[in-house]
Amino acid sequence: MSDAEWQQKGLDLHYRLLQGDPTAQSDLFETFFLNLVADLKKKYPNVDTDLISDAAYQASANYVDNPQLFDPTRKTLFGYLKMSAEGDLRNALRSQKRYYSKIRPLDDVALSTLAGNINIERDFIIKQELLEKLHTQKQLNQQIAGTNSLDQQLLTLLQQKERRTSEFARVLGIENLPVEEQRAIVKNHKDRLKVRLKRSKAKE
Amino acid sequence: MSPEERENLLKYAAKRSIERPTFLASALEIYRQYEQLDEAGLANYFGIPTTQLTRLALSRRPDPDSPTFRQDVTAIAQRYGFPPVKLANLLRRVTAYEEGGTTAPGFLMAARDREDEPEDEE
Repeated sequence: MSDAEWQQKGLDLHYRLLQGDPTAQSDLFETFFLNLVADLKKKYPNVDTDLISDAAYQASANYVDNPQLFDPTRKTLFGYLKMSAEGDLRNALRSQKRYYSKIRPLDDVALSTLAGNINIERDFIIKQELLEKLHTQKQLNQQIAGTNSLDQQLLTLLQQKERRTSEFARVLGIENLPVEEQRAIVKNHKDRLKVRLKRSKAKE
Repeated sequence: MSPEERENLLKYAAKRSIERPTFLASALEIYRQYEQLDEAGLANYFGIPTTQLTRLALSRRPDPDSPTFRQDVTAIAQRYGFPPVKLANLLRRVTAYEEGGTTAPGFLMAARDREDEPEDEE
């Protein structure tokens, strides 16, 4: 379905809900809820599926209960539901993180056995978040550098906060040039990639 | 997303909606419990497949006191292909359970008898 068709479908459903059509909400679940889950799973591949389904459900059910809160002149229905679901998802991840960080001090006392499991779960969440970050970074790099592996290597060095010219020169294969010339070439490449990074982040 | 995944997700949504009084799922669940029916039994009551029951549960719950009750019940029944009187009776019974706890078997039997009588919703 094209973006325009989705937009029209969203508008139709919205007006049916406002007019009190009792079957509109089941249509919303069959189309928007299912697509919302699929979209969130794609965007957050390392987040627990149950959390994603829960966030998509809350966003859809809350909208059904209060459709008048959605302003179709400002956003598409799918965009509105996605924004709401992503907010819920972030809150759920944050509260999980807080929960596990709060109970950690008890580890040493009476919950030594339980703590092992809790630590595993907490570490799992932290690991999921790191993977998420890495995935986003990888996507960003691919977006900026495309299939240019040289640019990808230079971007990785930039993201690792590498400051040595020699490291960039090695990737660029210009180690044999005079140091001043190496610096100038490396600077050109770094500036070029920094501009692309900035543009790409601004687009997000 | 596979058809099975889609069905499972819709079932999940229908189950979550039991707690929300604006969803028909809430009334279907109360009726199911009072009548001691399983999912297949409830689908059988309406004469529809269980996959349709999931979608029916995600519809808005018509309010028997609302002036649009008849119209809402008819719209839902037409959509899922069962006689409107089935849903109208179910909703009235559920409202009675909720309001007065009229749970005596006699009431249920009387309600069942009434189901056979012609109703204005049909």
